[in-house]
Parts: sequence; structure tokens; C-alpha cells
Amino acid sequence: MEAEHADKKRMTRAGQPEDVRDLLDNAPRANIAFNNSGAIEAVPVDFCLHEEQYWVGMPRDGVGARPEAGDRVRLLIDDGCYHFDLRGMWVRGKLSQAEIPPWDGSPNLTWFRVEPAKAVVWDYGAMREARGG
Amino acid sequence: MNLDASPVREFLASSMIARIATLSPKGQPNITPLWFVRDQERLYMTTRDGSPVVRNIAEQPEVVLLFDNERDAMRHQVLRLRGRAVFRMSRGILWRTVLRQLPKYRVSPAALRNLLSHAGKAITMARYYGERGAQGGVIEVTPESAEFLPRYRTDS
Repeated sequence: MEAEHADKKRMTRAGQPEDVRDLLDNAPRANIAFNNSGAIEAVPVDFCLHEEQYWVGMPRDGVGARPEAGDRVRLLIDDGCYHFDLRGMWVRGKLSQAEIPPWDGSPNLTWFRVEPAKAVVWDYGAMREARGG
Repeated sequence: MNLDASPVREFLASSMIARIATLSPKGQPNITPLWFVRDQERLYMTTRDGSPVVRNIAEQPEVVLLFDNERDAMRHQVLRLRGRAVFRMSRGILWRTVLRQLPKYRVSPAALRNLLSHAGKAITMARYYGERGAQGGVIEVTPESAEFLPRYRTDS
């Protein structure tokens, strides 16, 4: 049954991180969501793709609750507002503390690496037919 | 600060995407970008029944929403709203929301330029949504608080 489904062609908006490399290299905005002691929380972050690793930076104060090293987060990087411009990536992963900021990351922020467990990419402008869809 | 405060109203009026953060029943965080419209004191977002956001708010209705704004004067700020969400499937509320989305996302000059520049993909788009087939509905969010946060960008 699964093999049959995998062979079937469907329309898809899905892609791979390399398909949105330009977006990851120059992300207009990034945000993370995390579990803050049983309550949902979300904060805007700065984002860098450095040495093929995902880095997020956030101010040391002024944004309320912040995630800590070891926390599970969902990172969202997205762009566009009209249908065929909509694209982005989310990454589910765990934060690890960075000793030093990535090379182009602001030293005024606290930086973490996101250790990815899963990443999903979409691009409505690149919709196409693909096996398994 | 509430939704009626002038800075919040002004920010939302020229914001295009709501990023809605939710918690799964197992405690996994989720954040999804969606189109939104405002009607009186509530925000409305169309989505499909059974999406992760819909499943999450059925169990945990508390949500956090983040909004950006591309106007120069506001682009270094993020609006964060906290509130409660419910998924509604009545045809009335769905069509009201779709109609309110039209001038913002479908028939504004910028939206029409976007559609016309991808006119060749109209069939692809119709097939994509046809294949998904799930019933559409509306996430209704009642905001309870609002605050502004700084938006940091490496490129700024």
C-alpha cells in the first residue's frame, strides 16, 4: 500500500533546505516557539546559517521568557505574503548553548545552535508534480 | 495593551502574516504562518480541518501570535499577542473570512501582480488544493494582551 502511494504522483509545495538557501542566507525574519513550563511561548530571534548549522540569537532581556539550552523548540523562517511568494522552513530541534557567536552574529545577543531533528521546507512558487507528493 | 490601543490597531492594519504558536497535547511547540483578517475584537485565519494547529488548539486553546510589519517605521518591531483560539467550521464564518481576505490577499494590486506573474501555475494550484480535499474552517483568536518586542536582524 505504501509503495503504491509512493509511486503515485501528487502536487507538492515541499522542498529541501538547499531550495531556499537564499532565504536562509538572508532571512528577513525568524521566530521560535517553545514550551515555557507548560505554556506556549514565542519570541522573535536573529538567525544565521553558519557552517551549515542553524544559529539563533536573542536579547539577554526585554523579551520576557526565553528558551534555554536543552529546550525543544520550533524555529520558523518564512517569507512572502501573497500566494506564490509564500515560502519558508521550520526546524524542530533542541537548543545548545554557543560559547561564542557565529562569525556575523551580534555579540549583544545570546546565541544558541539548533540541533535539528526534522526540517520542513515549502515554496508555493515552486509547486510541482512529484512522486509521493 | 489591548487590541484597541492605537499602536496595536495601526500595526495590525498593515501586517500581512500571523505566526501562530501552539502547544501539542504532548507539549511540543509549533509555529505556523497564516493569512489573517481582523473583525472587531477578533482575528480570523483560514486553514484545513485536521491541521496540526487545529489539533493543538482543540486540546490547548492558549496561543501566541507574532506579527511583523514591513513599513519602514515599524520594521524593527514585532507585535506579540496572547489569546485563546477556537476552530470554527460554519459556512457563514468561513465565507465571511474568505471575503474579508479578498481585498488583502487576492485582489489588491500587489496580489494581482503576484497571481498574474504565475498565471501558468493556476492549474497546478487548483490540483494541489483539490488533492488535499480536507474541509476548510476558520481559527478564531480572541486576544487578551499585546506587547511590542524588538526585531533583530543580522542584515540591518
